[in-house]
Amino acid sequence: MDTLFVSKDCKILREDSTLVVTTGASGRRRIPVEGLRHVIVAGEAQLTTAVLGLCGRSGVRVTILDWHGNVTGCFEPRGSSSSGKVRLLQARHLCDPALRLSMARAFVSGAGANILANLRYRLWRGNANLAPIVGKIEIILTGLERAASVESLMGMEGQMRAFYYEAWPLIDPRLDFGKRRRRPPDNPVNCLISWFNGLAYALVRNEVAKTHLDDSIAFLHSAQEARASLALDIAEIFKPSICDTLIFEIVLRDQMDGVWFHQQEGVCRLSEAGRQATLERWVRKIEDRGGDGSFRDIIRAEALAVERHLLGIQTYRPWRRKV
Amino acid sequence: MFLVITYDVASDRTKIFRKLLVRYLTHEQNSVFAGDITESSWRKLKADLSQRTIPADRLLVFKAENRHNMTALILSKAAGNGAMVERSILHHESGTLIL
Repeated sequence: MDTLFVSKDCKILREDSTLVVTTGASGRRRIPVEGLRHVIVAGEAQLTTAVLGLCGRSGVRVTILDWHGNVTGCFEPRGSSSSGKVRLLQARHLCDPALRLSMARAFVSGAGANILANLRYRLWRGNANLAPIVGKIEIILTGLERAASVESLMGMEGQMRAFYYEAWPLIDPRLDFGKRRRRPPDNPVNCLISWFNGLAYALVRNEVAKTHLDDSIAFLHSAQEARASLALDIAEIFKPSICDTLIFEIVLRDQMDGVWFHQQEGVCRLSEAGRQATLERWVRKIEDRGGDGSFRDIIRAEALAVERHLLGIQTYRPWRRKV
Repeated sequence: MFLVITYDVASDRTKIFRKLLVRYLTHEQNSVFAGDITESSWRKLKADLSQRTIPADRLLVFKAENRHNMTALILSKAAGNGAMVERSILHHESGTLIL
């Protein structure tokens, strides 16, 4: 298997040159390490250095998520595939303001187009209240061409997202989450947004690592933010189509269960049952193969498209959801 | 490719195969291992097996080119109402295990 999600509290040990996950008193599961690429730890786990050594030698990335789904850290295996030539080209695109602006604009226009696709779909399904917000976002999207700096692009992206979140209560009252709160989330929908966004970032980072791109040289999220990450840039494009549509499905089909969340003093966390249920939906969403392949394949193709753009082979056009 | 390997060996030798196969495939039942592996991993596995087997050992391999062309199911009986329940195995269907 390629990916292991650990949502229960457990001990991860090394035994017989492979991983063993012990959950609770009785659960003992041996995981084949050959072919394993990514371990995502979302619960409380005890790891040993032997385990990390095995992962490092076998090329397994270990990503740690906190209670709210934010990626707090990554253990990268040795010998990541990188190319000096691609790294230099990435750096050149970052240091040259015009080149950097064009890359950042591509990411923001991709994210905006996919946000719009979500809303247009609902509009097409008959929700006419969304028309004014769709109009406002369309105006910003056409204005991206005239943006003069990356900061103004980030401002426009923030504005588009703000309008987008304003539209959620209009899609359905159950999607009304008040203000977007990240640290920490205060209600179930906010919690799910953070959770799925964190999983999306971990997934994109995993796929970017399969190319020669250097994750630390990012075009849109720059050194102003705490973490410069190309995976964050690319994840912006896919979050509306993967994470938000999944949340719509869960909420609108009334699949959300109270038992999924622990709500205490204005902080909402996912319980173990919640993590298991949402992870199963997440896995089906990203591994289900559609016409162009699964979302995992599409993200990897996107990262390769960015690399091809840097190498001057083909201009990068961000992925769009077909509506 | 998707592989199912089963072995039937002397009881004191089962440990050898178990220790080898747990690194590559999921241990589904006693002496039954299954999973998705690449061509190169399969060659490595075959080489490792070849080092360890003796003529009396019996090994069976079922291969499919693509895991999407087959369905893996767990059949289990629910206590009480006597109906058999079919569950698909997520880690074979999607290559992801959730614990």
